[in-house]
Amino acid sequence: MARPERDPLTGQWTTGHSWDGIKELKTPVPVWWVSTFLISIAFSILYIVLNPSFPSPAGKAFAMNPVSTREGLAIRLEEAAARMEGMNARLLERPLEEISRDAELARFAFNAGRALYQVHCIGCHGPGAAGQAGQFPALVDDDWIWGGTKADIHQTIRYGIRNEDPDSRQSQMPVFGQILQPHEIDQLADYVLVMGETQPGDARRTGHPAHALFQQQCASCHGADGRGNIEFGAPNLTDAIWLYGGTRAEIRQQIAAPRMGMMPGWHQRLTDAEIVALTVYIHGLGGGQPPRPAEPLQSAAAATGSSQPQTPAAPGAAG
Amino acid sequence: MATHAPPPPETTPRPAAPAAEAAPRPRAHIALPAPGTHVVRRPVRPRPTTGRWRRTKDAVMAVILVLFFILPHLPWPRPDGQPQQALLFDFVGGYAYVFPFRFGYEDLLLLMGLLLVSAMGLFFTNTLVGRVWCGFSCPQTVWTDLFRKIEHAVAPKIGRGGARLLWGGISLLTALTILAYFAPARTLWPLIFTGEAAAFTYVLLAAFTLATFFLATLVQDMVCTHFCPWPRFQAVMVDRDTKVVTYQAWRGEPRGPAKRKAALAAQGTAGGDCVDCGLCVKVCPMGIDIREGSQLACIGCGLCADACNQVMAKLGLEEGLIRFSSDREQTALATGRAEPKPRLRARTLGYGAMMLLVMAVIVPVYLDRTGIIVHVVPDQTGGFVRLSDGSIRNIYQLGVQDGRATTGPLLVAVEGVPEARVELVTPGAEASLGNIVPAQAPGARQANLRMMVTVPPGRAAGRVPVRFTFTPEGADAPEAVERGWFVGPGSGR
Repeated sequence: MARPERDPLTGQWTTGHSWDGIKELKTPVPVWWVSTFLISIAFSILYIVLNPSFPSPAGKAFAMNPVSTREGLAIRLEEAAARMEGMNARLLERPLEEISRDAELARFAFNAGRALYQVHCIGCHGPGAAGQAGQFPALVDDDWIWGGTKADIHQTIRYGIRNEDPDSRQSQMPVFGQILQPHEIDQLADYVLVMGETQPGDARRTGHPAHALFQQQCASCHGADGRGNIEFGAPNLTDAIWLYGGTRAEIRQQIAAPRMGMMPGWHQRLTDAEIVALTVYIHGLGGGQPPRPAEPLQSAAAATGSSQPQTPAAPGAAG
Repeated sequence: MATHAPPPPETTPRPAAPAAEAAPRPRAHIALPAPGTHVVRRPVRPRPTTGRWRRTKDAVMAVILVLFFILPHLPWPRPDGQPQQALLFDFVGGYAYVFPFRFGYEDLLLLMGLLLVSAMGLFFTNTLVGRVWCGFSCPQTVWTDLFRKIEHAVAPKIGRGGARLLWGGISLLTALTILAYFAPARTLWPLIFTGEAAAFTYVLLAAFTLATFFLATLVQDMVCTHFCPWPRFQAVMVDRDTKVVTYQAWRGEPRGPAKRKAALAAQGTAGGDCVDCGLCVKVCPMGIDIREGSQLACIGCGLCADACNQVMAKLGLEEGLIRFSSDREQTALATGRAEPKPRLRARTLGYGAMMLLVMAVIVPVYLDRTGIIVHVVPDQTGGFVRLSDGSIRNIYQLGVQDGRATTGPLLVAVEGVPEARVELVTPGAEASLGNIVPAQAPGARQANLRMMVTVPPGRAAGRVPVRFTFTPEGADAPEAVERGWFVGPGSGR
């Protein structure tokens, strides 16, 4: 072991070790390297202080900058809600039918409606709103059991169908299996199929053995010509759309032991503005109908008699 | 030695006091560089020279500088809403305007091809004549050269301070011009001068000004030896037939002053043509000695050849002691053989072929581009929708990017299913657009529409391939075609 000494060639100190006469220089680390190292340490300390790095006993990550914490999420959700507040207010001010005249508002409503649809409606009506055969109606076609104007759709979304809410759409198809004879039901099913192929007054209709029976038992809801009535949610029997199937057996089954869909009302879970946005979205999927001439234009707030967003109900209250 | 030898009495123990550390370090022991490793003088202050290569350099420099400073100010008539500047890379708007052409993100393939062609062009020239790009046209060379020219011209009259001021002015003008390639000069420059431009604009301006100033005054040749990757690997494209700046050692050596050569001649030994005047070193912008052979720092500008030729002319000797020449030529000349004819090499042909190949790919791509990009994605209806009259509807999400110079309405049609009716709707809007994609507003990147294709009852069955065609109003042929599927009953749903 040699003593540390100055190396004559470089002027640097050696470590003092000697291996078979080979000595090692103790050249200091370059200043630029040391400063980069120290700056990196300072940066990492700053980073730890500013950004979530360690969990604290309270269960919250310690961070001065809450950019990726739950608090940060809450802050940004509030900001987003504040940004949408103005648009939501405009959605409620405008009559339903006038929203589409404001391109910016219409785009907002459609996109907001799509987001809401994908949370609340997609489970039954499907990702493309094509419904599920035999269970839930398609919302992209031009056939509406309870009406396809914006006001109709708004009402349906708001209060739902055949639920406990007295404001919901209510109707009941009798269980004709307990009322009519099996051969009468067979004849009715045949008559319904004939209606789809013929115009009202056609001899195949008027001459049909079940013609009188239909007028007596079914016409009050489905109409004398079988075109249905949205007031009772009685579907059109002459078109090509059959929610519960269009074969003779399926129609017979539906007459004998009717299935009737129900839908929750959403006014306790969604705000008024959200229901309007959903209405615009559903109406814009391709099957929305223009307003009926007699309907006066009125805003959603006036229609529901309230402009205050509803507070979410306790779980289960909406049934 | 394992045993601990007693220290010699004169050895001073390691001093603990920092004062001793601060003592000047012995420098005299640093070994001289080995022969062939030339130490570059710092800073390099090349002496001006004249000659063939200097004139070529001046001409190239003039063309590059004029083009650089003038191009962003050339006007070009374009439709309203588009910049009227001939050359503009509009990052905010997302378009590159190049005289009559407009390129968008969708044309990035062309840019990639252009870069490939440029790279192959660089390699191609490098196999033939070495680093002419570096020596004559690289911006680092041009601006450094310009600044040195200015210094030589004005420093004797107004001093180095005056020259620095001029350098600063040119750096600022360069930075302003660079910005003008990315934002319209006509609107940006007044904003900058009135102090109304965005703060970031001034940051960029300062960055480009300082970069120009320091790269061309302080860093200069170190960019080529320390920053730039090209010198490091260009050597693999140099072979025995590449003409590079060469000192003809067989003719020049042994070098020495003319007097000494006369003495040698008297003894019957012939001296070389090189009189060792050192002018080739003094004029070199890289501060190297070409007589040490081809080297990394040589940018192939030929200024040493110019300087040497002047000296040779004065001495009445043949010019070209330093010249562009290949290793094969030198080998032949050194051994007294005739100068070999240049031969074609696979390397040169290969780079040339690759250049042509890339062009053969991008030119058809360019000719085929219409500027319209269409995306048709089936909506998530899971198949078809039956309407109350029994007709079958398919719903698609349609995205149209209209990158044409003049946008206009597009008519949409579906081929493959009979009597298909196309209906487009802006999401949320009530009114149907029919089968017409409306003309896009200036600055709009993409129109997103809902496309409903409806076929009368009994016309569609199963899953059939279809073509969506997009035809400009008044045109005969579609400018964009997208393939897709139409789903009808009996397709498994």
